[in-house]
Amino acid sequence: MLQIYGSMATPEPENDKPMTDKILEVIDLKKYFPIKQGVFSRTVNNVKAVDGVDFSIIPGETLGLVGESGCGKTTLGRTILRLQEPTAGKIIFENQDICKLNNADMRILRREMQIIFQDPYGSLNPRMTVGDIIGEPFDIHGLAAGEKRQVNVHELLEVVGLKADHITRYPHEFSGGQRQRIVIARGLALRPKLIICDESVSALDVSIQAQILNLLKTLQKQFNLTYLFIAHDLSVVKHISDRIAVMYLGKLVEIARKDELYNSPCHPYTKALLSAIPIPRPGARKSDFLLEGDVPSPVDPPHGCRFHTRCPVMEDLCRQTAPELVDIGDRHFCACHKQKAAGH
Amino acid sequence: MREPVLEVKGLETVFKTEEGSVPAVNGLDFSLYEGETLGIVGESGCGKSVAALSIMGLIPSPPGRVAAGQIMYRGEDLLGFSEERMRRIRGNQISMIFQEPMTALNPVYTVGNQIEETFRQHRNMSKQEAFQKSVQMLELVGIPLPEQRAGEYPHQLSGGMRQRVMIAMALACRPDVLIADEPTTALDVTIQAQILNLMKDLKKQFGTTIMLITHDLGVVAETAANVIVMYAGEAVEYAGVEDLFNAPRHPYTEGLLGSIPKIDESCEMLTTIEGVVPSLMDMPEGCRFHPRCHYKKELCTQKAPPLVESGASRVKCFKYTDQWPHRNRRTISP
Repeated sequence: MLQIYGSMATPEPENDKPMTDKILEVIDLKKYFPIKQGVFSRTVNNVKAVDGVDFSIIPGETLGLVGESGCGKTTLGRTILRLQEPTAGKIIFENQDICKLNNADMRILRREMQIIFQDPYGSLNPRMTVGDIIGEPFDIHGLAAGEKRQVNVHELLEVVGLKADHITRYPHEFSGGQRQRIVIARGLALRPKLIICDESVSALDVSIQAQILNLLKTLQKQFNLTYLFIAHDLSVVKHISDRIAVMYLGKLVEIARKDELYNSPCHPYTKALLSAIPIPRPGARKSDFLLEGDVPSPVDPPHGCRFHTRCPVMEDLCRQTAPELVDIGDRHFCACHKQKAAGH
Repeated sequence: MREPVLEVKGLETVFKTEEGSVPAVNGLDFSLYEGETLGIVGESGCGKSVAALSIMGLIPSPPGRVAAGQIMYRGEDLLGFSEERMRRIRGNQISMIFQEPMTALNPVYTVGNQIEETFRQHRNMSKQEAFQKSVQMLELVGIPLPEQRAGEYPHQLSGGMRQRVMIAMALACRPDVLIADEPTTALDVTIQAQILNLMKDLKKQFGTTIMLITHDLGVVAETAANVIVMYAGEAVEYAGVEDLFNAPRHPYTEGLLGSIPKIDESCEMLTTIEGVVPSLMDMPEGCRFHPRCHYKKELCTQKAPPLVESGASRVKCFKYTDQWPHRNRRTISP
């Protein structure tokens, strides 16, 4: 364990302590988007973007969430912050079901949880200076004004590696990587405990991506942050995460510590995902476990196991019942009938 | 010695803007040999796509213009060709796959129709014959129910399918050279793996020469035999794929390789390249990489480094020349 949590100042989280040790727990979370048709806008069907997801995060940890486009990972991130209201399920943040909070209480709680979006061009107001962007959280929450606000903004700029004279400039004067630093500074302003990074480095070039990844890691140690790191790039997720959750068509199919997930993946989808990643070393391809076909539509997901239409080891059972996410040992969760049968 | 199919010499492509002309590609040289796969890597804005468009004669003019250089295709300079002659080359002898299969396909024609067009343009086929051929092409690229799919519109297909259609279209006339500009960047990893496999299979079958442009070093390692690394409009390193990954010579290549997290290795921090790519409007003097280079010497800030041989690679860096302060000079392997 020590290896994984490194020099972080968090107490050893793995002991059999009760639920209080979890900073965030998501229970059977669902988010459906209705499809409306006809004159009376009747709901004819639902896009089941997130369809029954359970997981938890412990303080100081980074949970990576991977999956292909359309699997619902972004919706999951947004629903956890209640930027979109969940259709069903519970979101427990520090022993409090946040779905029950009213708007005023929710606003106060938002100090504790922040999000960093993918596109640093779309997430900064072009008419505000960098100083105002980073200082705005203080204004909204009435936490600092005047000189104190100024001092805080300067401090935040320094923390994310920007210069003090950037304070009066506008977002268009910055490159993508620098903009993402501004977004991170804004996210850090209220000293949140949980930060959801939604594809935060995907739009950046590799050399800039590495800078931001390193910055996120440094900040995590400095401020004892907990990350939910959403991305489609498994190499990036593996680099930054302690544990990784794999999502397919609105459901989690596997959660495990990163080394375990990489060394002994259990779900066929995880295996396929791992073998599909091109490795930047000539002649390094491990296996040819390639998937056929495309991801089915989330409007009408396949019955039984959602992956059965593309699964190379599918059986009759998979077509009929959906597998549960079960612990196969050492907090390694997997949702696959074949795994149970194998008596893992 | 084999004759190169395509030889680019001193290519310079500039764009006119309100603030003056911007050299997007600045003196690019390379040769593409029969049957090889050449990878061109670099970050956004390094000029890799502009180089491809220059070869195809697709630079929008104005504002763009190929200012200097030669593009020799089987001994003839494409830059001297009339537009009509270029049209006969494009899609016939040299064809291209674009990154965004959604925007590269025409939304108001069926995909079958769009492949047929290639045959009718270049092969003078009848409508029926062209349709037959298109269905065959769709089948070749692994599209199930090709006859039915040929009658569908691009929006009815998934991203991976659309990219297969693009490949079918590009390969319809069995081109000599295929230029693939980020062919898998818009796709998910599992679909990317399918498309890369398809390209490999088709290459084996037809021996097409491929120029693969990508920012993904993993894709390059898997598909290319030779690689060009571009930075700020210039090629900084030419190497075989093994050499490039095992012994990167240019400091930029070295930094780039250190910047990517590797799925089969663990490390606490990634090595990074400090700073950002300079603006094309405001290029640093001397070596264009020197503000971000940690080997930099005074020499690098004064003049541009020459292209020198180092082992089997060619690299644009003073480190491998005699001018480099001797103590730190890397030995040049034979």
